Amino acid sequence: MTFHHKSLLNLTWAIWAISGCGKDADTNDTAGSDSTDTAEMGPGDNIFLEIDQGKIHVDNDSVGDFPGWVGVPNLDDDDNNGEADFSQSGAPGENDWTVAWLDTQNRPVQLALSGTTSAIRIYQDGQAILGQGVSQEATISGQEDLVKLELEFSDFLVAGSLEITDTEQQKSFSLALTSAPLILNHHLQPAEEVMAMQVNYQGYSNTDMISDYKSVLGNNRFITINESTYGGDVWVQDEFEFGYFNAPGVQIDFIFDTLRNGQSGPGQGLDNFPEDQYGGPDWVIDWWGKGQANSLDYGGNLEVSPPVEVDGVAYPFGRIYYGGASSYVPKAQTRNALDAMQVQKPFMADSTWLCVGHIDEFTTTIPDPSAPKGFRFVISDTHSAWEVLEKMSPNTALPRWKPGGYAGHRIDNVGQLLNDNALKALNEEVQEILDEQLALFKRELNLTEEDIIYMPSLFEEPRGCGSYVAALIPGMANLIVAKEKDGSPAVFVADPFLRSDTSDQSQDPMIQAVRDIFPSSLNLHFVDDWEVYHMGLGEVHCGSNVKRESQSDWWIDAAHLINIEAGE
Amino acid sequence: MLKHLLLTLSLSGSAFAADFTSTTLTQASQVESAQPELAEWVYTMKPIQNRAGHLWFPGRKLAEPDAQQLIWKRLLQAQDNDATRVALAYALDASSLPDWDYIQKQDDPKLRAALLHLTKKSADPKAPTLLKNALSDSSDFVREEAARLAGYLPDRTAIEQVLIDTLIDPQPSVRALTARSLGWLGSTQAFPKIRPLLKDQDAQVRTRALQALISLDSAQTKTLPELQILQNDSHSPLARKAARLLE
Repeated sequence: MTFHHKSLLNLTWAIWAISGCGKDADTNDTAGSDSTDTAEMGPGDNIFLEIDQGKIHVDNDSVGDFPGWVGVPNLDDDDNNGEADFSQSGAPGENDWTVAWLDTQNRPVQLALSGTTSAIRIYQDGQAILGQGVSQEATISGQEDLVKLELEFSDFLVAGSLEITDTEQQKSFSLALTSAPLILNHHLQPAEEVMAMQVNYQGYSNTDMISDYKSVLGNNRFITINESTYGGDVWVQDEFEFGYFNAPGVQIDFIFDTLRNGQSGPGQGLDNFPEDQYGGPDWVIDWWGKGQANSLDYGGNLEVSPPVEVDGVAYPFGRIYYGGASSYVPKAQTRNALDAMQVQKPFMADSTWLCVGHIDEFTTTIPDPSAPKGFRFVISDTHSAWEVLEKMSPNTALPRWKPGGYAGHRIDNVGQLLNDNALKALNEEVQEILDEQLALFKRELNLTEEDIIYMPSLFEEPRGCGSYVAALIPGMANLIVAKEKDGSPAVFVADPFLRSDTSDQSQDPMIQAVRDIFPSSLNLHFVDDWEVYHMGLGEVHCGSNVKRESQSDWWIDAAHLINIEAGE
Repeated sequence: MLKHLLLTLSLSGSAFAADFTSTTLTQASQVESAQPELAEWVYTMKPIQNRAGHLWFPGRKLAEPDAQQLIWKRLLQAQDNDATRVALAYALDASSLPDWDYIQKQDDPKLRAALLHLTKKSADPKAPTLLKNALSDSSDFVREEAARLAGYLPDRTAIEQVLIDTLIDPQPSVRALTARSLGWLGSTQAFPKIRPLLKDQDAQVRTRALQALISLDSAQTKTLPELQILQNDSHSPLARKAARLLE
């Protein structure tokens, strides 16, 4: 499917090249886009280089200012030979170089590369002429036709500079060369695929939830992960995160394949799922660091906000956030790598009070076109849960909650919840933590009260967790945002089952309360995640993953966030 | 199978109350006869990992009384490894509590703690007795769990004094959770005993102690001179909390 996506991008570029740049350079009308010509001085008879942002020449060299000609780290493996394509200097099937067109005005042109040259390579007509493994200088003979130059990098956010000299007229101009940062997806990007594992044995079943996914999303946008192939490892969110890196006409999809490495150890559980499902050309599946992961290194503990502006700084691709506290944090290699990408400036909130310890257990974001920022920040809130419960009849039976063991919470009715002093005391303590964390999110994401949805939630100390907590009411903040068959936005949330008739959601005051506070533009689907996920200390988000559409013009929208210095 | 089990129990020298054991085994045997397939499943099922990485035995079928009897039998049989036995203990639904004699004979502290979990919110008069005994366990972890679970008892009467005595436990996590439980249980007589913990070397102890004092007597807590020091505590959430109280 990514092939298709990429093919479209390349096709667009090819059409542009044929229609705009195949002309004789003498016409002075060689560009695919004249946008810069109308605003800036035209090149006249000057040599020029046309990049996505416009034509760069001696009278208009600011177009080449940082980030200038941008490209991607060519880390995928288009020829499936087991090596990253950059190391091959032109792999068969290569399609990740970004193109620029040089008009020599039929005069010899000298190119000089500087900066981190070992991580940059420039090609002329498919042959490497500058950069790693080649030279730092090259001369291109004068030609009537435009010369096709292509650019690749070996890493993220590499900086270089290219000086272009008209040797006859002794005129020069320079442009910056910059490689893309890695960008992780946020919930406002349209969903392409949702995936979850189906399990069903001995009363341990998520059949209803999977059925709901399929009926709402359609079979072609829902991937059922095979239980036996992947060892019954249902925690799909924890295994990997989707992202991408791109440049004009080029995109490589990325999977951060976390150090979780499958439940029960490397090679087991979901460890190989990302490679099996997505491995191949135009994908990079990678991670940072090594060694034994702790729970904070899992995908469920890594989220991205929608676009925000904080302290006057725009983050058009949102901000990364993860959970941790003091010395218990995700691995330094991961944190450092995410920091190094700069455009989604990460921050940390405290999730270490939770038994699992993941940030997705009590926060999320949902799209809302009517919201001031286009989204709402959802955070667990115990006050609103008590408010709903206090309005219910204490005699309301809770059959789904009633069993003991690992099947339920051994709670017969609403009154038992309302009269549980220990539960109240525990949740008062949890609320203090939530309040502190909300204050942090308000600061880091520049949120106001209007931006926030308080999701009714209660927590308990589940068996085996000591004084660490997990959701008692199925964790409804742990939701996923997807797209229905007809394209309308859908949210899948854990069914709280706070009702007597488990089959009739219309009776459930908690469901109604959530519907009341959620945007009407979202179709809410309350799915049964009780046995497999809720009782296993996870919820809907934990058991699912979402691949999203991922296009951005970071070189335009996020250049202000990037500060790199060229090496060498 | 039953003979083998009884032999195993006998050889292990277990001294726990015969009535609990024999009742459990008798009931399990009846289930075995009536539902051999269920018995086969329970005796051979393998745990999986939950999201926290802990082993568990999921599925609503296991919460049914018959399955519970079989789980007890498998646990008593002691043929599984420690981690599996812990998961079996957590799969129990607290409809019956074992005796302390049985719990204390389990070598694995995690299993002892898992069995104590059955006391959570239990109105069984055995529950406070089990926790009182567990507060003297040699394992820090078991004492910590006992201190924590005591807070869930429906009545403080039987455990209050033991908890107050436990406020000087050498393990900080035990002191912290003991303070919490006394606060939850509304033990006003514990207020002066908890107050010295505001000067404890451990930040968690200071934090839990302050929370407990607030829940026991918020007005009096606000007047404590210790708050002046706590508002500059190195543990920032505690410092903020103290500062808020002083406002």
